[in-house]
Amino acid sequence: MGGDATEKPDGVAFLLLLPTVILLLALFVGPVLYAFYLGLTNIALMGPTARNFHFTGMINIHRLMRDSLFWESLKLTAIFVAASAIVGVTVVGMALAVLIQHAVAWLRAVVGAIVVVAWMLPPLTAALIWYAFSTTGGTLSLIGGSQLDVLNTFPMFVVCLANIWATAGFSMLVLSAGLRSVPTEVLEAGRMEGASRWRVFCSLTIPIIQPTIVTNILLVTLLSLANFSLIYIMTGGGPGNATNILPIYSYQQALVFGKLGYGALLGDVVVIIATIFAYLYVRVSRSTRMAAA
Amino acid sequence: MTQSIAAYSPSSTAQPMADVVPEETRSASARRESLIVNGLLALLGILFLAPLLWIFFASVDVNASWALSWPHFTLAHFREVTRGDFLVSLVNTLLLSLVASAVSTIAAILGGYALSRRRVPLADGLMVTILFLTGIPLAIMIVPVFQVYAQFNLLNLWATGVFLGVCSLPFALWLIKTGMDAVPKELEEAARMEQASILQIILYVTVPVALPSIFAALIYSFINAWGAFLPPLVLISDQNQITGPIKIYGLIGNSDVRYGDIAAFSLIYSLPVVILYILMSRPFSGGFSMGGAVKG
Amino acid sequence: MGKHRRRPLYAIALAVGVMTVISGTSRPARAADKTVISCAYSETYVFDNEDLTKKWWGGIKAEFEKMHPDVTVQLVQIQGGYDDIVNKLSLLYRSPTTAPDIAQMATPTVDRFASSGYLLPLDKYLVKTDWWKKFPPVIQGEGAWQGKTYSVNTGENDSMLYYNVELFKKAGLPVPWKPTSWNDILAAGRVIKAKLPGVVPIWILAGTGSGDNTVLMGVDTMLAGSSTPMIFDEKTQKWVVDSPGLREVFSFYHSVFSEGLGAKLSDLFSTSGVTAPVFMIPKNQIAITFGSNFYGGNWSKLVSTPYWPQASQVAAVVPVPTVNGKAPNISTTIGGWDLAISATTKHPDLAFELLDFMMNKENQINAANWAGFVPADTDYVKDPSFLNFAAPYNELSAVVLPDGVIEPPSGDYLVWSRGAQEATGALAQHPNTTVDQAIGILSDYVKNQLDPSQTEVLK
Repeated sequence: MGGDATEKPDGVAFLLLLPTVILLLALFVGPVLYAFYLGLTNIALMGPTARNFHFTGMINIHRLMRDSLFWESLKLTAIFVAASAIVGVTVVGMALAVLIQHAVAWLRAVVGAIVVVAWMLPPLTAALIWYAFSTTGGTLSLIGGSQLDVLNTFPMFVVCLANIWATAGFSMLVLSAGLRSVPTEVLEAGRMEGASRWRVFCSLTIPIIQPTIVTNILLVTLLSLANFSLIYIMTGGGPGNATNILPIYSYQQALVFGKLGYGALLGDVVVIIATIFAYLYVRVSRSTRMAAA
Repeated sequence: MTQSIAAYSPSSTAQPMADVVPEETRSASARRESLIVNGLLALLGILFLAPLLWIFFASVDVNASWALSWPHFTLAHFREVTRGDFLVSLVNTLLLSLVASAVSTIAAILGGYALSRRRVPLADGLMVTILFLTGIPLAIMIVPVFQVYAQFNLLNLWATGVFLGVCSLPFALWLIKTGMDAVPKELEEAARMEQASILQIILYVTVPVALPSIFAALIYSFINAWGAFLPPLVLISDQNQITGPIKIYGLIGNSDVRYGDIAAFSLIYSLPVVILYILMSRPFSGGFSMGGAVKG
Repeated sequence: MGKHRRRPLYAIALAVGVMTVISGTSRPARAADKTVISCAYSETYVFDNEDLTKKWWGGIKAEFEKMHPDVTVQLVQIQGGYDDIVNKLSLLYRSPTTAPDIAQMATPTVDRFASSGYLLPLDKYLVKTDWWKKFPPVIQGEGAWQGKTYSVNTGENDSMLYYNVELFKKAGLPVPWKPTSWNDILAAGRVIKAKLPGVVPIWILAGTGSGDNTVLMGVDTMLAGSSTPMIFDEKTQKWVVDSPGLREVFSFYHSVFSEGLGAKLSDLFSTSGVTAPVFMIPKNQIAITFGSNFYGGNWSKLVSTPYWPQASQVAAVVPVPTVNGKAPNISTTIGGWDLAISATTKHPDLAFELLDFMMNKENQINAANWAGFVPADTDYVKDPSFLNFAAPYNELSAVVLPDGVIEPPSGDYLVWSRGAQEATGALAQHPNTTVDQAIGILSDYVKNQLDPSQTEVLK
């Protein structure tokens, strides 16, 4: 146990990582890999291929390619993630983080609490609240004379709003921490040179906290991609297929139609999308790190 | 760009640095700015509060429906949902969340220390891989996990808690590792000079300084498990072990939808996480520092 | 600083310890001494409410254990709705350690469980009973797969029209009402709309909110009385996605929704669409309802969701007519819940004894009354305790039962059903959807999900 322990290949690190690795492999990576395998089989929830299933090669993938509902679902997922996660949550979260920094203490505490509580609420409760809020007779419908069924008329819009509402708190916390780490001297220097607050924000603050913003976008995207309960409880993917994003479509195929294999494949696509995002994140953060150096 | 020491100290809380403004700007324009800022924030606050109102009103309303209306007050709903089986489900949810957050946090502390302070091959790649696991939909994993659990007779509350802990593990690991990155190496070296063991270093040096991130990870795992719906639905069969969300799900699917009961129970069910926030808000928000501004 | 940090660890250790104790004690007591028979069933979906579920199953358990002191009946409740029950059972059956000895499953799902190899053939036990032969053949057939019987029906639901006598009188429509074609229904609806604005003229389910129930109580019920009732062609093994019958049904939907005779979308699309009329009819909010036989029981004093003592005077029932009155002028689907025994059960004889006990007269009539079923046994349906529980609804439910048709048992039927749900949803939400377009929605969906080669058009 000496000072140069960080230079030799590390048995201690291995031991420390062991619990994490075992748990993740057994209960997380294992099932995911198995799901990738299942995606290429004809396993079904019930029926002759429930237990006696076999590898079917590219059949499911061919099905995926010509499944127009899959492409529709992919598009809806993109809209949902882009609108609510990337734009909505980041913009609203940033607005909250900035405003909270400069507001009076009591307002800061109250609004901060409301927003964070909205995030902490269990997804089931959030879905119920938003169902009540947007269905006929609910609060949102009042703008249409309380007969407007906002949820079924603008399903994607409402669902995105709900996701923003339920995730903004998280984004606010992350971006607040980032803002707190901005050194005041730099901002003061900018103000001294006569720049407006907005100019200081755009040209100085944002570049400084860019890594935080990027990390936030990645995390919020991943959280939204994995968000199942909210939409499932609110609309079930409907009306029709208006909000049938990939996680919901995957569930439908696997557990409603019983086509476990195809449903697993759809889930695999979500994993691949998440991987692409993670890769993009690494590229972007590496280039910002290099620029800062 | 160096960091001011204040960024490391976990006790430095919500005192925003940019509030330190020179005296002479207490002018009319500053007051107008302050009005805009506070006004906008208040507006956002109202917008966020609006959907929440229903839960409060409907829970005490005799004629509760999905509509938001001034209630005819009654406590009947609360009486209905504090019956034995509802309370049992809350206790089950609590135990489930404790197990999940314990599993997640402990594994993340150990693993985070390893990734942060020890030489691990491909640590960066490993970290990103682990992080993107956060994005995996639960529905895809639930059937294989069910089969494994069924095989080993683990279809109970305790094992489901472990699974939920594992679900939060990637993000918890990320949070704690990043928090540990910010711990000054000098503190550890000082401890090592005094012949401290690895475990002692972790417990007495690293953890206390990285405490905000650890709290954040603990609370994140707790909240995740508390709100979990699909895993308990699939993995728990014993009526005495079902959790709060399942109870609510049952209430919604009933032929006789009792909105007031749903609102009342949802309120009670959501209360613990809110209390958690109030208790933890100081150390909690500090823990979300992503370390993004740490030197490159 | 040291003591402070140890406390959370102690708390966690304590929690884990408590947890282990609790999970240990919640297993059935002294399972090693007694024989255990497990029964899986829905906690909230089948019976009219949770209390009645507990009453029926609790009673079965108590009495059977009294008759067999060395046996423990383990009750395994399944949470959630129709889909959740199917999913949970299909997961439980995957391993012999979790497979329930007896399970209550929806009749359309029996074939799928049987073809997975999960169920025990019951023929050799059934011949020894005195009740099996009293079941109508169509109901016996619900539990059959490849020549063997795998399940036994414990109650059926069928469809009928409910009409509000008071609203009819106010609008000047003749009472009692005996429609002999679908146009009769539309005509009555138009009169209601003209004379009584604010009342929903015709309630018929549409869209995906209620899942397969939308189709069971809507499209399929009407299709049964159309000129071409076929959904799945057994000869060619193909799904019918266009036929004169389907066009007649969609045309009816088109008329209802384009003329404003239907209900509000938020009611139809909500997840409680199936039971909404039970609460709306007593408030005189609907004139004509395509409903199910379980409504009547809900209005009784025992069930009281809601209690409506004037039900039999205000809400009259009449069978859904065929499209143009062809005899017998009854059009309905039937579907219900069956009991099945696991193929891997360790106590097949004992399990069947328990099943037989559940099928006795008292238990079956209780199940019918408390869950809104009509019993399959042709004797039980004549019993006064059944007929008088929810008169006159129970009586009509027994009358239309023999003419009912069942949904195709194939798993792929759910795809067809979903296509039909979406077609009716479009017709309801966008009233200028034409019949051709609705057929197109159904046809495209099925072709996309299954394969164009598995569909056919009937002329």
